[in-house]
Amino acid sequence: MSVSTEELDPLIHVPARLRIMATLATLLEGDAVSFTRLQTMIDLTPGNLITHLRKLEDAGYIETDKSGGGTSSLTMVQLTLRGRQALRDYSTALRGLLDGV
Amino acid sequence: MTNQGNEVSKGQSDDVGLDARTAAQLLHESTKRARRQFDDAPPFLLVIGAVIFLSGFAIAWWSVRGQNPYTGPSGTALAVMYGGIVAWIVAVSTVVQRANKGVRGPSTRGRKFRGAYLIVIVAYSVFQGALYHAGASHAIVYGIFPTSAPWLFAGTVLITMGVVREELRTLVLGTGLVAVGLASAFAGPKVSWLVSGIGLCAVLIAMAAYQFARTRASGGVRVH
Repeated sequence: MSVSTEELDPLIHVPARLRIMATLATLLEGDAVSFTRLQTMIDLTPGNLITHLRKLEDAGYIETDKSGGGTSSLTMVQLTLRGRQALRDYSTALRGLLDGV
Repeated sequence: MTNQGNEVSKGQSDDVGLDARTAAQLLHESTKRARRQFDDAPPFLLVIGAVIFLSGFAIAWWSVRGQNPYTGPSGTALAVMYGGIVAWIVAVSTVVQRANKGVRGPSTRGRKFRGAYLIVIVAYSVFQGALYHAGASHAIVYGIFPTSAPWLFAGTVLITMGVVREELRTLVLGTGLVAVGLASAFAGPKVSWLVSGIGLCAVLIAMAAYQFARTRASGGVRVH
């Protein structure tokens, strides 16, 4: 049975971004993961991942930190407190929807 | 992503929303999978450690149980025990390295200085030598000390780390090790080997159970 998902955060309620948020949320607060490791875990193309990360970053849900340059550049990604709260709210709303079925 | 999670996600275009049930399933699977991949203390490795410590220390106890006067475990028993422990430590290091690959932050801080643990091991051995030099009996040097001091040392370090990092798990683990160290010290030189083995086994099994429960209890929404 299909349930209305209008109450859910539209920024998170997309498969790729939901997986990114869920993965980053398992890290301890303050921990960041490299773009390469995240890409391996999420199984997205670099271009696709960058697009989704940019959307999450614009919303203040994640932070990226790029160091170095050229082939040795390293991008670290981490969930912000706002992002962590957004995922918590999303989970709560989702649970509410499913409980109401 | 588990196969199930992959199937859930592959069926969806990246910019298309999900129905609530599929979203819950995806969230649950993604969380579970990520926890497993970032887990630097998987339950199976802890259970293996529990078996190694229990059997290693039991072998040492077996080699001293009939001694009178007490001289300490045989060379073979010590070789088997320490060989098993070293092999387990190597396995743990490999798993920790793999889990923390590409991760930076408070949980991995101090990685650069991990070699400093060697100072503790050297200090421990030197102190044991000093006890022998000072005329302490074999029961102390080769019995009470090696079955209690390492756990008191390690437990103290973990308690400190737990307090500084505000990590209850580390604090409880440290307390458990201190308790094992104290129980061994009171058990006497022969039985202390067995007490150490049983105590360490219990601590590692408890840790494994905790880790298992934590991995199972995904932060996502369960779908039945």
